Amino acid sequence: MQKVCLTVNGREVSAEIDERTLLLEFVRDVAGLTGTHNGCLEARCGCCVIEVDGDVVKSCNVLAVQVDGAEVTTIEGLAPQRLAPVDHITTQSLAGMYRPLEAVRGTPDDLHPVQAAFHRCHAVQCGFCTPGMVMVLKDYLEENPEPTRDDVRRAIAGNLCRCTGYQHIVDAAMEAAAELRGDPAPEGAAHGATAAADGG
Amino acid sequence: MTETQARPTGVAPRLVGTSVPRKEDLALLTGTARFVDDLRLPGMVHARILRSEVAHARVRSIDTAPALEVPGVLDALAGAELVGKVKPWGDLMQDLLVGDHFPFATDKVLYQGQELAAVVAETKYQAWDGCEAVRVDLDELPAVVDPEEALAPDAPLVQEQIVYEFGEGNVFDRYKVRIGDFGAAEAGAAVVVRQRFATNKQAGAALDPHGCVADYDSFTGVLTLYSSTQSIYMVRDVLADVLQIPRTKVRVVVPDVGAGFGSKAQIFGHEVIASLFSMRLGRPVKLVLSRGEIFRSGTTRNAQVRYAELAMAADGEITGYRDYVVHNTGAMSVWGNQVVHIGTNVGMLPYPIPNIHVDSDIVHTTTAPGGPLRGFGIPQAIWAKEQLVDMAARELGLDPLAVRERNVIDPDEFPFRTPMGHVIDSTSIKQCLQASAEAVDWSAPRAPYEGKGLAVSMKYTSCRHPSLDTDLSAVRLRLETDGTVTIYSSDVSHGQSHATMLAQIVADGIGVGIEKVSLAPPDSMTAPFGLGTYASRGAAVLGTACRLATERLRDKILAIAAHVLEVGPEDLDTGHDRVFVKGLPDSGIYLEIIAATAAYRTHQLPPGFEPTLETVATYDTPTEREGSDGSGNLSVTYSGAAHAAHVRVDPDTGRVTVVDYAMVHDTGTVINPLVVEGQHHGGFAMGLGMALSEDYVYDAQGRQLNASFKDYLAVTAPDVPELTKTAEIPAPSTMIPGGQKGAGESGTGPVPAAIGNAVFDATGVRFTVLPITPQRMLVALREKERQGVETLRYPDDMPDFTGPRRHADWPSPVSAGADLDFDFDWEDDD
Amino acid sequence: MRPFTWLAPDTTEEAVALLREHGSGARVIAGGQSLLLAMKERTVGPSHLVSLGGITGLAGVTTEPDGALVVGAATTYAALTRAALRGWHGVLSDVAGDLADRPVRNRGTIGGALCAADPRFDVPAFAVGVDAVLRISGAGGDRTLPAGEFLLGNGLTAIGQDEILTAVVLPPPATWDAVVFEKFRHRVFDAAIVSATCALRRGSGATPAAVRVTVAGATATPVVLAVDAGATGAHAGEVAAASVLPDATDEPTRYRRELVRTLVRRTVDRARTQQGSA
Repeated sequence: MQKVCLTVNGREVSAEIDERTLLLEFVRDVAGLTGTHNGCLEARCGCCVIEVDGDVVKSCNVLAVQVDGAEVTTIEGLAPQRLAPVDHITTQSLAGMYRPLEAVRGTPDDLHPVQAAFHRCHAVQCGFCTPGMVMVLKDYLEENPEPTRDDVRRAIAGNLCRCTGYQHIVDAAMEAAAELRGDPAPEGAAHGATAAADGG
Repeated sequence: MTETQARPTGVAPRLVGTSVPRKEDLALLTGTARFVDDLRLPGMVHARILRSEVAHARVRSIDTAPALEVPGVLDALAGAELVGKVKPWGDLMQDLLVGDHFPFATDKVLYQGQELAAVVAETKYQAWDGCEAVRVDLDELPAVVDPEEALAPDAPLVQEQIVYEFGEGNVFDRYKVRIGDFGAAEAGAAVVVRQRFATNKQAGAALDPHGCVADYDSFTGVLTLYSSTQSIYMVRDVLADVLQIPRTKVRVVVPDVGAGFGSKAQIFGHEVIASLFSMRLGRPVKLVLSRGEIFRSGTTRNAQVRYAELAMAADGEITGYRDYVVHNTGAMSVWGNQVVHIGTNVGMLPYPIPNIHVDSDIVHTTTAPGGPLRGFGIPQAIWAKEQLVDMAARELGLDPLAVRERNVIDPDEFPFRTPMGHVIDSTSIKQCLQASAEAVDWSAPRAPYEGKGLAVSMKYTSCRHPSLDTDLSAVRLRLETDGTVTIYSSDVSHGQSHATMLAQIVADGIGVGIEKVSLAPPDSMTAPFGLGTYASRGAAVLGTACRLATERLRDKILAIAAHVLEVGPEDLDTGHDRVFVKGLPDSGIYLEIIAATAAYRTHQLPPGFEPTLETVATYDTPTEREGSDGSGNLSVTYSGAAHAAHVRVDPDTGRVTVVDYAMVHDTGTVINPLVVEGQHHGGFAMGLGMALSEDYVYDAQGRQLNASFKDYLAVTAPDVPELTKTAEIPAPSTMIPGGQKGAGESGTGPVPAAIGNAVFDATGVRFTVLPITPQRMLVALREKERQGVETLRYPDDMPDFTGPRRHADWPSPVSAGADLDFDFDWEDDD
Repeated sequence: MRPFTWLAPDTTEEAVALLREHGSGARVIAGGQSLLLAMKERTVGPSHLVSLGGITGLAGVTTEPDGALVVGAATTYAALTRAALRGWHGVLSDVAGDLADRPVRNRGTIGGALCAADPRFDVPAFAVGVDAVLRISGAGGDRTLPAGEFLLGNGLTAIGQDEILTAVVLPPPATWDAVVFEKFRHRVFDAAIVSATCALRRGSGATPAAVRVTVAGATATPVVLAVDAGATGAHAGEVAAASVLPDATDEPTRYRRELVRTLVRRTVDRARTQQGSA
């Protein structure tokens, strides 16, 4: 057994753990945050990506003891205020629960811009790959504020998605990049390149 | 009306037809959604399955006793002790259950990855330790990987125990189609093109691993199974049957499911094993499979070998199609048998081919079980047929676009019945075809090593399978006493956006705000009986059930409101969460008042009104069963897909790059355009994997060499072209009240064929196997240079077949003692 | 994974002592990107893991007085990508930035890649390609070894049980006037099927003074080819294809041979172009 102490989304989590505990398992089973997913355990699918001291890693391929003392950010750390229970459905509160399209732009008080853009652009289908995708893109866009669509595709080359064909994910990344740069919101279109289907 | 809301809810315009952002997203985006591996029940323990390393072997002994000595191990199971206690399950083949599945191998191992034993322990590590302690003694037998070799009379016999109704030896079942007279078509044709085409074994590879948590309550006797599955009732009914307990004592609950694509549309051994452990221990048991286990023991797209022939008249009319299909369904089959039926029947579209002659042997090999995967046999059929169309057109000197325009269904009147029996209620496939070709600038000259290819297909929207004489979905709606609406359905949403799509229908139907409509988690204890989410049924079949339930709910709501307001129901309308008198939308009664009246103030209800506001509707499609000649209208409507690919081939490395791709679809009336577009994108990506990279690679002993995401070449973001040419030309279904057609799978069907045709256009190489890897491409180019030819079919240059096999050519029975009186109704094959 | 004891020494000497103490069951772990994959599948099960993570000085890039570049074995790919390296040393940054994927590059180390000795990995191929020298510390003292002698086979290296790879030394910039690395892989994050490196030293005329062509991926260890300094890319490609995989008949081997031909041709042509414009 080995004592490991991590700061997870700003909260200190420390435990005596089996040395074999992966960072993924620490986050899911010790810290109790199951938004980080195990899709292959082979460091391939990217569903387990989290940030360790500001750098993204595939948490299924890191031992918790390797990063003892680190600051860890998971998908749950991107919009903590959104994680308060919202299931109190009353007629009075209902109007506020459903946010129309234009209202869902990432703000410091709400979803991260990458999360918000994923929602607007329908970059989520089954949603299993989503946390890893969002974490990689958040990290990437912080370093590369003006990517091309090809850049974005390479940035997520280590994240598999079997549902979306990646198109709407790239759309969302480009929208999020614009939002993070502070560009004015595009007129009309709910999402980027595919809004106007021009094949017909 | 004193409040001035920032945004009144429940206001028309109609939500159906708009890209409402999904209700599902918030949980998925913030990491709060619960997939099966996220479940943690008090006292939960962990199971692990010991799987065979070898593909084909006789079981000498499996001894689990040593596992019980391992610290932390609570229980262990193997096959021998379950024989006679647990019922086998398998394919419902023409109403006959073929019990080829059992939780563990007993006498024989039939494929690598088959369950040998399982161990449950306090921790995952201990369960693995326990598996390592199990003593296994196997006597390895020769493997059969190639489906055609499985047909040989001296081939090793895979399934020894089962006597099939229509097959023998490794032939599990047979299938035939006899429409018109292919012989006459062949005699009268200007050209008949022939080719042997082989397709690959593709994995669904849904990222959310197969897995379950079984929780048996020894007090109530109820076994609750939380499972990552596409169908709760199929799992419930089979599980209850296997365990021999009443169906009311099995409850299947489905958490969030991280996709399936058909690979989770059946019950699996791990669900039975976890249930058995939980019943033996009285504790919740979690069993989530590893990626390698899913590759080796999950179902795959059935690989096929098709000896396909197409007859064409001088003017380009397709007059006949003949095919002999060897359909590899792996070592066992739940759905695999159905795939060749449906894929071939619907795969004849979008051409009204008058003469069709198909024979198929559905064979066992010692490979992973075959089954449904996005497209259900249609991509395989289209891969052969749409390449033959190009080959015939080129032999006749015709433009492949013109030939397709000449042949696609474009009747003067609907409904139109094809010779195969499909009832086409509407289609815009011809316009889709023209639009897709135009989008890639079809007639423009090609740069060196660049080429363009077309393929068209139609995909069923629902399905009456040969073995399942049903095609139903159901929805129960409840207007809760606070004015919100709960939708209950057993059709599991695993990426298809049911919570949003159904809420759009309900919101439009009763004027309630979409934010007040929620979809209950699929739970066999509360949801009405339905078949599940597969076969692209969601929008059309489930959507129709939802529409019917909504209409019934609306009628009940209006009846109460009419009684209270003392007007006729015909004078009322809904909207703004209210029922109001037409023309007075700012007045009226809130739905929550009506709901409360129905529940709490029943004396205010109209005389004879049955209290509470709950309705249920089941929709079974007016489809036909497959006829003895293979014909039939198996789907309620058909969605069209016309694809045009533009590829570039690197002659130095063999890499095929799709540089441009147009997909023009007819998905009828679209409920949520952005969601449907997403389905097409995803369907394309799966077709791209089938076309260029994904396949199970086996060695001669039947061991899979690429059972990991490292080696299995799943498509990544840089592999996919920009899909900016995705468009709809809707021809609303007239069979489905809302006009919808299936969206989930139509994006996959034409992809391999469109790319194959484009590769030929670019290089002169006609690929006859999938996938078209860089390795195959480059070696083919070198081979073509070496032979000094203009065109080359690779790897099968010209197979030596002149016609499909006949009944008499089939291998004679090899299963000893199988003395059944076969009564085939074969027609004269001449 | 099987149980193991976690050891986190502060110095290389301590690490070496721990390796000596715990014998053949002990393994060194740096980023763990290769080792952990095998441990999770239980294909290896070390009794002790000796972590290099806490040893200062093993990560980072320094320059020797003669211009040689000393890359600490625990330097991650991501750090190499960001490092501002001069001349052809910068190709190492490019190589490190174009393998695996973004999260893996943050954990994977150059030393780990060499010790994994996977024939399809880029770093070992590049190290042999530019004739890098490896520094090794052990109980018996320090030693150096050319990369080509360090790699002995698929997963096999010349490192002793109680030794640690501490640094990779790239020769001074003047050693080569142009270095070009090319590879072919299916997907961006896949290991290379074949890679080729061409390192070239300018001659007095148009003909280079020296050309070193290395091919990796097709064989268990990188192969340095005997290529005439004046050879064109096309000629070098023919020589490479004929010598690396002379007996190719099956499709996979034929394909690798074609890739060897293509990639050697491209690297030599590009290197010759670069020296011309340099």
